[in-house]
Amino acid sequence: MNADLKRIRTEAETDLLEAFANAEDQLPGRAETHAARRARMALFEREGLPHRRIEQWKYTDLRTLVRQLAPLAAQTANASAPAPAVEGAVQIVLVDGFIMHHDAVPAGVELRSLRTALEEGAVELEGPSTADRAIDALNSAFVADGVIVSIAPGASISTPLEIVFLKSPSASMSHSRAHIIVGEGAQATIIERHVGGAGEAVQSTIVTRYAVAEGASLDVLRVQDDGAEAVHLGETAIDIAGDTAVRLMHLGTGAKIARVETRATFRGEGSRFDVCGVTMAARRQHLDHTLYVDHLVPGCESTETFRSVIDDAAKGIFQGKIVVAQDAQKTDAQMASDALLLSETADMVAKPELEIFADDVSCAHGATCGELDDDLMFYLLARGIPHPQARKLLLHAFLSEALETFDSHAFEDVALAAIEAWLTDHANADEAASAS
Amino acid sequence: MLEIKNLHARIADDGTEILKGVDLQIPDGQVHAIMGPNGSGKSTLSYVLAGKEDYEVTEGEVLLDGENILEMDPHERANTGLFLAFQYPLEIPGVATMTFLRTALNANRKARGLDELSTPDFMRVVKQKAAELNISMDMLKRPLNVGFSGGEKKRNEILQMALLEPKMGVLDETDSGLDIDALKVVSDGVNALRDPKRSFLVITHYQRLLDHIVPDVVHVLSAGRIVRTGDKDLALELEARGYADIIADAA
Repeated sequence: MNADLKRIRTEAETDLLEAFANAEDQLPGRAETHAARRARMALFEREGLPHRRIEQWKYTDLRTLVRQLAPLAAQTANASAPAPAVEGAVQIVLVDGFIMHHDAVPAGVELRSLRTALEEGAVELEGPSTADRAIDALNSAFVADGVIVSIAPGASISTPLEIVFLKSPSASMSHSRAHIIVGEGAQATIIERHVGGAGEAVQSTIVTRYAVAEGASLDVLRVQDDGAEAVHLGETAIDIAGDTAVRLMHLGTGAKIARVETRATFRGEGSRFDVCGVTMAARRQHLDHTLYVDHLVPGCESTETFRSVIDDAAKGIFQGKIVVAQDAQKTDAQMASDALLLSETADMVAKPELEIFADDVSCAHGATCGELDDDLMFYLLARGIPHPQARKLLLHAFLSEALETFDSHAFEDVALAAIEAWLTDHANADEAASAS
Repeated sequence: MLEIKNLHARIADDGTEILKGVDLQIPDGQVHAIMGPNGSGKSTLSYVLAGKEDYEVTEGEVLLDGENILEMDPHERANTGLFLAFQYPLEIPGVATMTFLRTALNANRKARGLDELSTPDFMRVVKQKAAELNISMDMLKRPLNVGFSGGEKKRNEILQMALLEPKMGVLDETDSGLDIDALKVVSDGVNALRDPKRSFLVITHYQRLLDHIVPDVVHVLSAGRIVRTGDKDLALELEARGYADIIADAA
């Protein structure tokens, strides 16, 4: 006997299906694209939002965390982008997923509207419709606009390109997408800036896809600084060809609930990928960083270095999975996640995994979770440094150690400034709390 | 002037009483040494003076120039003029030694109502004091004490003391882990800081250090109390006869 189990949809899940039904006509793309969109929605119709029974979503149960869905954002004409994170960066500004404006781009860089490309059938929304890829699926179903950035083969672009994913300050759901194609032997620096929403309940999916061709080199900085009530679902997928070097720095301080997935896939030999992440969470924030690195081919190296500081009743999650395929001999992969908990109610989950099918590799992973060391603290106090300042010094030291990949790089300055700003805000918030 | 009066302290965690009524007076300009066998409470005394949370004071007072420092937080004690040179200086990856020195010095100046030092002024002061202790600028750029040798760590402690210019320096087994040359450099550094307005409490196991830093008074600490007090010759007597004899005599 087959028990026909009918799942009860949450309000958000019902609204999601309805939002798609209402919006579908206006979404760009030819018949194939629409079929792909509907295939993605069928997943949500069947499975609902990802929940704790799906292994990859165990610690970020969207069904529980997102009870209500905000209405789908319409295109807005006016919004003001923040000053570039790195001085002199060329900005490409998307508001709620729609291109608003962009600065003049240097020679060797070409921008295209994703909307136009979808309408012309020049781009398809490829990807699996499986529950573990819910962010991409949700984004693909709804995405209406976005940007395609192409770096010409051999071009060396010294000016950083900053893609600003701005959310307008009203409760709304938006879906943003960018495809970045780095040509053979090209060099580029990309900044993903996730901001806005003020204190409103903005909900967004943001997918960035990087295709890095042979011999190229790419540095990416991703700053997740969404507003305090935001739900941020981000996926960055990077395809790495042979003899390339990709570095990614992630700074996560924003949003109320954030799930960021980084997916790197080695497709050519002799490449390296270095990712470092700094997460700072307070209040009741829920910040999840989920990482997949697939070593499909031999002779590639990767390092994954994550540091988190969690305070108040916030929760940090790090899931990192390195897969080394049977053919991927001589792989070197080193993953570490270290966290400091600053309060009794702070929470951190770390789940590092190695799945190795090759037999001649050097792989390691480690995770630590602890409190600030009393002895170190006492050493600073004994030198006359007051408690808040001593704590700040130790936290700064702890977090900045994750940034070694970007030693003396412009990104390092951005990260150190972000760490400094968070610690200062935070020390002030603590002081205000203890004074009241 | 440091006055320790009937000081009792225990380990906060398990209540084990370590100091059982220590009385000590160190007038300005004097160097006092405390010697004693393992477990007599020497290091505990230094930590209790500096305010480590692992210990609870159950009785007594500690006055620095008449102010009861036991009521102060550790950083306030430091800024009032108490300096503890650690037996095992801690390593702090990610904090450049220079940043640490500057933060400490400026916190100290702020507490005394002085302006922070400008970068050039700070660099000048550090350079000069570091040179006197054979500390290279390169060493100061490294993370605090990380990968420093035993001698480098202890010289770094003395450099901190030279910068902070305390009223009272407590040296907790500063000679441990030092070879003869390093011992000489560290001792010279301490001697250079001797001043009619500054006093020192030198905690050590061995008489050797006291050949270099010559004390005015030597105390023997045993089972949490001072059981003998004498001049510098008492250290020589200890070296010749061992603690057991002296403690037996005192009892």
